[in-house]
Amino acid sequence: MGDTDFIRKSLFMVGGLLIWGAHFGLVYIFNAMACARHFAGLRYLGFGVVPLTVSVLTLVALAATIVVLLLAFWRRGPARALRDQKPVNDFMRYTTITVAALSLIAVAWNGIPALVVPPCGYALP
Amino acid sequence: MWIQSTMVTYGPHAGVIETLSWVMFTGALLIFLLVMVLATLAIFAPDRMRGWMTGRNFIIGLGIVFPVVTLTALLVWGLTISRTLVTVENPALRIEVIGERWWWRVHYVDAEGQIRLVSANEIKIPTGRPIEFVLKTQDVIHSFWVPSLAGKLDMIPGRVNVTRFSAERPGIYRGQCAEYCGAQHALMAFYVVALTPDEFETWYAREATPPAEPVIPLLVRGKVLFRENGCGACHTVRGTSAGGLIGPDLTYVGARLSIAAGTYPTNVGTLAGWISSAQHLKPDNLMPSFGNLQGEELRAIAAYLESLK
Amino acid sequence: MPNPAPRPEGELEELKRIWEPPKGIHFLSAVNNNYVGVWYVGTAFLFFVLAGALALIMRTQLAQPELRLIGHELYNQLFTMHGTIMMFLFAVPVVEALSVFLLPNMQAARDLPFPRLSAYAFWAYFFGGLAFFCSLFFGLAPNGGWFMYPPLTSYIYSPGINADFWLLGIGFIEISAIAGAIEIIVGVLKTRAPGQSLDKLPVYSWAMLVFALMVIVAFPAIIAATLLLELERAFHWPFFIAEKGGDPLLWQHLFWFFGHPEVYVIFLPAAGMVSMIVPAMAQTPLVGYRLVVLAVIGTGFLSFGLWVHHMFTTGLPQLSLSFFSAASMAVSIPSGIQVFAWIATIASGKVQNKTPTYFILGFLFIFVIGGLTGVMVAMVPFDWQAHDTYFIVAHFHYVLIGGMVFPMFAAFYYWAPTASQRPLSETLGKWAFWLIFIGVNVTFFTMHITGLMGMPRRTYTYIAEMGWGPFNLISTFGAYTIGAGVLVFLIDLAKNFRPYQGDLGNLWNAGTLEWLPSGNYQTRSIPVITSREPLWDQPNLSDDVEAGRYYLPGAQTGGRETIVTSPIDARPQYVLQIPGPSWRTVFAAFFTAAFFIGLTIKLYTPAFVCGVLAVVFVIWWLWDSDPGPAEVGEIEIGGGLKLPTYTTGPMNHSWWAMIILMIVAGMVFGCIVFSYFFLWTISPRTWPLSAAALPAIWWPIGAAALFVASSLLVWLAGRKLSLVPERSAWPTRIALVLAVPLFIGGIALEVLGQLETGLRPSESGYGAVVYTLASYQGFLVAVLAIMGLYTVVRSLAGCLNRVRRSTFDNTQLFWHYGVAQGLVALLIIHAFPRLLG
Repeated sequence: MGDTDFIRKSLFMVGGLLIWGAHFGLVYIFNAMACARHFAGLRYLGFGVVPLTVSVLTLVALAATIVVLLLAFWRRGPARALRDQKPVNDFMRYTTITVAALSLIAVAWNGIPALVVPPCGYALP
Repeated sequence: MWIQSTMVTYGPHAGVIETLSWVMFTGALLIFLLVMVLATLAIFAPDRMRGWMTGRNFIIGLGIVFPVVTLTALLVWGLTISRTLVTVENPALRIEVIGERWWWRVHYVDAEGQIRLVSANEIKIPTGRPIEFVLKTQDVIHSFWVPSLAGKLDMIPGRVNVTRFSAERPGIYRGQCAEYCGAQHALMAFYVVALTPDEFETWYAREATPPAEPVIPLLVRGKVLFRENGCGACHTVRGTSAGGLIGPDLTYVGARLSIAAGTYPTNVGTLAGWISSAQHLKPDNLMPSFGNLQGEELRAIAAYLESLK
Repeated sequence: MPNPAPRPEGELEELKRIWEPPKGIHFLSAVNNNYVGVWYVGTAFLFFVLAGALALIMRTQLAQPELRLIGHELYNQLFTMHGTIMMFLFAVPVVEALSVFLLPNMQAARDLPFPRLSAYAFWAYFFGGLAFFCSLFFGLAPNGGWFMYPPLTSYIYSPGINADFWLLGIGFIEISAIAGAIEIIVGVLKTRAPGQSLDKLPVYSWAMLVFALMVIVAFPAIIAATLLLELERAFHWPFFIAEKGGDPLLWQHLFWFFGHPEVYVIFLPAAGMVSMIVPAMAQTPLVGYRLVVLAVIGTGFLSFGLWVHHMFTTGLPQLSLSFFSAASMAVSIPSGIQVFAWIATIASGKVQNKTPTYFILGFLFIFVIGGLTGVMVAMVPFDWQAHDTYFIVAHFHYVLIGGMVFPMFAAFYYWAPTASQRPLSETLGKWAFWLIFIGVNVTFFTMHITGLMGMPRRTYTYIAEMGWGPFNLISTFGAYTIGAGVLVFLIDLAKNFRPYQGDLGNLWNAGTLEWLPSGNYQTRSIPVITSREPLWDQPNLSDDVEAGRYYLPGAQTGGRETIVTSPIDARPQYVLQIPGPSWRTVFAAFFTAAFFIGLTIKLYTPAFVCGVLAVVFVIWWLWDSDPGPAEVGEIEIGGGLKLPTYTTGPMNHSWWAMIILMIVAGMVFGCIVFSYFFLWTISPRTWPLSAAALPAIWWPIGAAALFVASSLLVWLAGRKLSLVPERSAWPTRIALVLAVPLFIGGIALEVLGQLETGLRPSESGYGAVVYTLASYQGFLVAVLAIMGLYTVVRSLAGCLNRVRRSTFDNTQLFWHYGVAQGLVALLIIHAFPRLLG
């Protein structure tokens, strides 16, 4: 006993960065497909389909990261296991929160390019 | 001397990047000095002067807040630059460049994509107007790069990459393959010659016609030897029986600045040397040395090629 | 104190005798980390010197324009070998080697959990690495650049065996790196000093944990990539040939998915060492420990979002590039945190004027420049100019030399006293520092300018008119200065480094456990830790440990042993019986290396024989590795704490190793699946357009049924094993034996089904990747068949029962994993095209 518990707690501890990874993978694959399969030009509600999708995914990822951060802060959900005031629990909680904070920056930065840069390159002659 | 420098630029594409570079160099220098000053203080300053450096806030302030602010600004600015560089207006001219081991095949294509002119290892362009470069490769991966005009873009089998840029003023700019492509990657360069639009039109019209028939006996003999030695199996000289497609087109080779892909200046001497000992001058390139030719024969062929201008 | 002192007569002598390395030539069969660690570091450093020598030849060739000292043939081999050796045979091995040496000491464990595995990793690397290097003397060294881009490196443009040396040699050395990583993960998580909970773990252990996890995730990508390219070269399976529905960029994606994290794989352990050395040199605890741990974890993740950073000029969609630009910005935050944490630590103490300090400050100077130019090249437009020029060469040498070589020298000077009777010389050390420091800056700072002036990398010559001559001459001069510095270090080493004759004690008054007094058995007793710097905060710790007042002062099982602890709070769980010296690992490694080298030089029969011998020796070595509970039963390690000597399930160290191995296998599989979808994105025309072009549906259903049936049999074998120990073991044996042909039958059905449609692997990218999925599954099936039969033999030999069942448990875990992977593969191959159609 104790060991599988570690897997659960440590996954929660790096939860923010796992969300960053999922977001990163999704937006990259979506844009790659949009350019390879030529649907990047579609528009929806006046927005390009790529910036719109990336922005929505970014907002979802930011919200999810904030949830992880708050759960750790309030010791709710998976952070219940860290309620004991042992130094190691404090440490894991602190790390969960700071990891989530770092992820917030990373996810936000990842969302910016879609608002500025065109999705694909020049059309082939 | 600096005809292949990223910091001596002659086009808006490279110019914007040069500005970005100077800003980043300056910023980096300031940050580097800051870190070094802090490190020096941390080691040598009296205790009372370095107390503020010993806490967590120091790390958060300089290690997190400071980079987040500066890097956000840099990221947004960089993205804006990227956007301007990849959304250039419609081109005045389209040129297809095909990477070969170890030289460059150049096609001037019209709006329908038909090849209008073929050249090699030298690209003439009009100034002031965006040119579209369509980049392909015949064999391995190469990279098309003219530092004083624009950044590089790879030529990848199965893919077609497109970039647009322009030259501001007439001049000679050197480009070089930037992706390692085997034995003679080091000697795979080319020249971009920017002409005023008028000069370009004149050149383009003349280049489209076949070269004049040689009349001087030496040149006539050179032409014959060129044919007899089978040069036409690999090379094309328009208007003659030489129609080979393996090696560079030589129709107006005498008018080009260099031979062997930017390696030697074009003159009778280098041409003769190249024909007799290409394998010595650029080992393992795909042209054999014609060591069997006599000096007089070499001179004739070289003079003939040099006269194609 | 858990144990009373004085300790009984003869206890220390017995401990010493048990941990004594073998004498004479048999010394080479030692497996203990103190010995293997030193050989490992030494070999890695040898490769550093060799690759450095190659660099000097290149620098000499470039000193003048149009110099004809060496031709392009040798030059191209030299830069390929320089990069490859520095990355694969020096940088990664040396950080693993240092941790083999340091980790157990730092965590007061007697050894690593799998000493024979680290010995195997070392010897495989030693034999394989030297054979690889020798290819240079025969003109057979690879010449495609260290990232080996196809199509240049495929069979059409590189018909010789040079490229095969790279693919087989490096693929194989990566396997050794992964073996080391498994060892390190289990070591960090499971063999710590009691009380050394996660919040008290040395930063170095954190760094090594993240390092090893990164290896586990990133290195399978290069293994998959080399596998694909070797298949293309050997059998013309067109993964990278555009005309046949392959794509050269597939290689670049796979390579850089490994290659970018690789930079941080090298940097993190070095940063971890810096975080240990700085506090000792400043005589004060690290400021911002928790932030530094955050930085280490953050780097581990974010570095996986950077790989396209090396592909900015390939013409990928602009937005795709920009995502990687953003992630590159993000990864610089953790580096910033660490740099300012070190400065803060220096500020809060009084740093000593010693050689390690010099190298640390030199590291800071050089690494900061490398980091700043790193931000520059992360800007897409700037990279379009800088990419593949000497600016990049300058940048990554600043990052790698600053980020890794300087900390390594600091580590040599700092930790030498734990291995040697004499410290290294302060005078020579400072000479070495100044020469290397000045040399590096002269060489590589100049290269920034050379690159900006337009000189591309990997060019064996340049024409005089370009004006690059003076810059290159300066760089050459600098390179020789570095060489002189390294020479001074070697002299210092020869004069002063005397390993295996006892150590010097806590020379720097450092706070961490590797400075406890130690012998060949590591520490006399295993302390309970209540602080991050126990030697500073726990008075008398050294004396109590040395007097045997702490846990496990003797060797109660009669063999080598250490305490296994829980991963979060390091509570003692059981006493691990550790295997001792053995030649089997050495021979296993030798024959593994011989197998791969044989394949490379196309001596197939000897290669096959060596391969079989390698498997035999591995099995023979494993035979002792599941000893079951010791005869003494539970033992008391002190203070009334009784621990079992054997466990199974999720507490067991080998369970952890198996889980990690499954992640490795899964990552390789994931990379092949990625290749499948990637090639589909690029050239859908080669995909089957309708269900009719696929094998009939009953082929995959049959295969899936056989897979599942084999899993059920293995599960049943486990049930029969666990229920009644007295009953015959035959049901278990029969179930296992039956499971093997079912599994093989499943994969055979899949291959037959594909063959029947007329699909051939060499005809298209689609065919190639489908047969690769099947082949990889086939490889797993073969491994599992051996494991299954091995388990049966264990049972026949009476080494398997309800209690002593680790071998079975691990086979079972991996079996179920293999079946699950097979089912996923079937689903992708047979369902995805049907969904499209």
